[in-house]
Amino acid sequence: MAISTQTGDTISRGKRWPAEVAWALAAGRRRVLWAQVWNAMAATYPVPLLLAAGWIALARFTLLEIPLWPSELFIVAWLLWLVAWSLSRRLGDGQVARYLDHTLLLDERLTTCMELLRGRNRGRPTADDFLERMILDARNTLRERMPMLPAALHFTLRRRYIFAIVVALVALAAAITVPTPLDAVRAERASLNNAVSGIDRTILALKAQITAAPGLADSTKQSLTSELESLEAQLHTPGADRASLLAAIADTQQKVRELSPSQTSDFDSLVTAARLVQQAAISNAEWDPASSQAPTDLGKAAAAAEFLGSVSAVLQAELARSAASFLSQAADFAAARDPQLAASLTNASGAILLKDKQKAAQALTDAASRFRAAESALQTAQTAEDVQAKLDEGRQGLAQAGQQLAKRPQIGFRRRGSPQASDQANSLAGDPGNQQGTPLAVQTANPGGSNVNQASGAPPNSMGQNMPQYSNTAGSGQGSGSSASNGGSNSATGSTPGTGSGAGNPSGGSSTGTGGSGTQGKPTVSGSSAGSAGGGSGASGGPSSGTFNGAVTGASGAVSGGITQVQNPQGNGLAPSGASGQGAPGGGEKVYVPPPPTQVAISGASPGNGQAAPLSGNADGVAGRVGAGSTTGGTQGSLGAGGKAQVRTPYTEVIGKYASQATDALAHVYVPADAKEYVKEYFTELGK
Amino acid sequence: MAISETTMQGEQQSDSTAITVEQFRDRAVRIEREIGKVIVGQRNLVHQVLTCLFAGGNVLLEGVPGLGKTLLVRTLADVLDCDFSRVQFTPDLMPADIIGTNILIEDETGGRRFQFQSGPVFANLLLADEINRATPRTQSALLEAMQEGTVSVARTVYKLPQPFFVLATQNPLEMEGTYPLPEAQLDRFFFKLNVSFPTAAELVAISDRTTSDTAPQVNHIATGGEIVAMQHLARQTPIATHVTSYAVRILQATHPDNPEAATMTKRYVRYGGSPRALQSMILAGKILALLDGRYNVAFRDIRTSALPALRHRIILNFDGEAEGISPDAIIASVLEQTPEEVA
Repeated sequence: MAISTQTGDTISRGKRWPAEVAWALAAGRRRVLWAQVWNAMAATYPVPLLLAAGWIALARFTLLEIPLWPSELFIVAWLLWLVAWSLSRRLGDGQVARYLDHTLLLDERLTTCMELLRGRNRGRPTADDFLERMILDARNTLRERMPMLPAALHFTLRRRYIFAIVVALVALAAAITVPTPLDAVRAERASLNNAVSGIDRTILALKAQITAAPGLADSTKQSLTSELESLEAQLHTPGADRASLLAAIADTQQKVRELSPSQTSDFDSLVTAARLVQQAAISNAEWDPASSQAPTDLGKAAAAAEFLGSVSAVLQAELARSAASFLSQAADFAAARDPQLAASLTNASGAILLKDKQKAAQALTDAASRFRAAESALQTAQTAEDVQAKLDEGRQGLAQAGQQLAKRPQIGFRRRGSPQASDQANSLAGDPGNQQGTPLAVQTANPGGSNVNQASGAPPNSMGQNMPQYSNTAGSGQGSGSSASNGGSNSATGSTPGTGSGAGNPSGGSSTGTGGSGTQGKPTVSGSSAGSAGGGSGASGGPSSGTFNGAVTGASGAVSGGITQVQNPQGNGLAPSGASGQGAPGGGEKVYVPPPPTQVAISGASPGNGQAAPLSGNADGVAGRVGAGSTTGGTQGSLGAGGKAQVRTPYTEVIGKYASQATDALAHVYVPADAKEYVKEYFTELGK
Repeated sequence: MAISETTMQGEQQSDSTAITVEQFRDRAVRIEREIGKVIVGQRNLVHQVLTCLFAGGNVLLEGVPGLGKTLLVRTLADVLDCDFSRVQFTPDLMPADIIGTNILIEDETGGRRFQFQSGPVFANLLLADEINRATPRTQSALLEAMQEGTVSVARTVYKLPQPFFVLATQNPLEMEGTYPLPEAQLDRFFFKLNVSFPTAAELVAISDRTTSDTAPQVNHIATGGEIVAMQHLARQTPIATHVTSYAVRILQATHPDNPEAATMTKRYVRYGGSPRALQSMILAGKILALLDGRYNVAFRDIRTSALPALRHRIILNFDGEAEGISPDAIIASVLEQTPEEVA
């Protein structure tokens, strides 16, 4: 029997596929291929999703430093694999025939025919007549059922594939959206890195500044640069955490301090003396300060002294007396800091009066050399303080970097407890990060005591200072006090401008008011007083002495603005001898942020022997340390009465910072383990 | 010792001639229709019996008394125009009663010699009624006849006439005093068919036919030779490789130790189907394809033939017996869990 339509490839036995069969095979091949690709997609699609979800989970829920973007690569890789797999597919005729048999319900006609024609059937040989009838039967059945062939892109999803895809999508969504506390940690790390980068830049600038400093000794330059490079290396130590970084900075600060045991404030008297020497040269010998290239008053004073030495012989008597007077006054100021210089100036003064040209020249030359030595020391101190200040800025930035993110859960904390406790929480805290051994300190007014704004001072830091430290944040307060004392002293310092008012009646004493030597502090002291109230900002105010009658505004009262605390210089809660005062509680914010050491300069203080306010009850006040020093101006005064501070800033805004500072302090100061736990629990309880 | 092989003289010999697929189907349909004149309903049963006949196999019919088993066999013998023998198996039935025996005879010259006196097995259609009532010894007398188509008596092998078709019946209810067929005997049966109870309509028709004065008459449709020709044609039917593989996987799935075993197989089966089961499935599949007018075996042919070909070859374990699991349920589970190979 002949097959009517013969086309396509020759199979075997000289027979060809009917055209319908060949066409159906081609159509079936496309569908099988698409179906296989679709099935492969559906079956493997969850794989890249799950891998991406796993990667994202790894990146988000662990602290591994891996980026998120590689998760997208899984999808891309999967698509590439799918394309490659599809292109590599080779479909045999038998496979396509089986597909057509199944899809068109051909009852395996096509497959059997194909196997018989290609001689692959293992059965007994089939007669040609039987085979031709089979082919015709297959062709006819195929022609009849071809309309049943589904569309080329007819896809169906098996239930298990749908389930797998849904599971994978849910896993991916969960990996992306489920919140994790590590996000805050990671953000904090980024902030830390930024802070470290900022410190790097600061160190770079400091090194350049040190290198370019004119009057600095090479050994000093080398030491400072070495310390900074050491710090730089420690900052980039792998795995270093915030605590270790802060410790490294503090350690460097300490070493820098040791390189320069003096402070710029120590040279104040010398500077005054230098100005007097210059004045002597200007007013009496018409010396031109511009003729000296020295950058500081000390250097100019040296030049002035040398000039005076050269002209002392020709000075008229009146002018000589005037010059001798200036030199004598200068000697008085220099006596405290540099007795040798004072002696030289005194000798020069006497020699000028006695017209002893040679002795005067010799004494003034000695004075000039002392001034130059002092100038070098001053520059060293200035550079060291500058380094410390900038490192301190970096340290504070590092300490606060990412704290809001990390402490987010603490926002909105409200501590349970008594009002005293609330006050306590709003009180000052020592700077735990300054590495000066300052513990967490709490300062509140002591209602039962006699101190005004009793502060518990920090223990002496490594520099032997016990300086009150104040907030930079604005605040306002008001207080009043009265004292009748001799030798009382009040001082105020601050870093941000503020206003305050106070009233007091000091009498019979000397009051040295020093305006905040901080860069921004501007306490206002006003009132009628025989003495002069220190005021202003920046540089120290001039000394004053005399009887202090009338009101002193702002001396010990409130300071609004950045200064939230006014206290005695030692921070001991002492009233100076013979002074008694009573002040209203300050109302300023008591947020404690340590200023740079150079900004803390209290002058004019006469440290007295004081006693700490007792700590009782709920610890409205924490006792300060007993100050050391000589009493100036008489007997010990009575303690003033204080009131409870009025807090206006919600503690919830600062509790996070307190907690972080406490944590940092615990990391740098030896604290027994149980005490550490206690502190941690304390802040944890605050956060609930 | 020489074993002679002989054919009983006078027995009908097959004179098969080639036939076409159309003729095969036409003849089968006519046979079926003719049987339907006598047998009410039971179309599937008749269809499967004919499948067995065309495959050259033997059938074990199981059903309660009165369902027409014997009538079916007698009618089939009438339609096929073949020799028919019936043996009622009883406990005292001896093998010689079935296959025959040598008897001493005296010839015209006065000499005496043994002559083989053939038994009822020498027929084209043998009805072994209630086969499980005979002793195993007697039952085993049919082993050689069913498998080889020969009978050996006193070192002489006698070929049985072709076609040779054994239809055995057994009653599943009266088990007292019966001898269950051994596995070897069961395996010789191509199919085991369960005779179902007629429906209400069929019962009405049965009562009408059997209680009237006139009995339906059937015509001879095919001779023994034509049946043999049909058997030859059936064996020529091709089967695709993957369809054969499907039958093999089904068989493997009945074996509990096989990795592809079905769930119920692992739990309830002690031993699965033998290779004869595979032969039965494929051969029956070929017959079914031809009866369906096709030239090749399809998956559905294998599925259709799996149940009667496997049900008597699956041996249940204790759990299966205790829980009353039927082999049919296991085979259904096997078919469900054995996928067809599609692109």
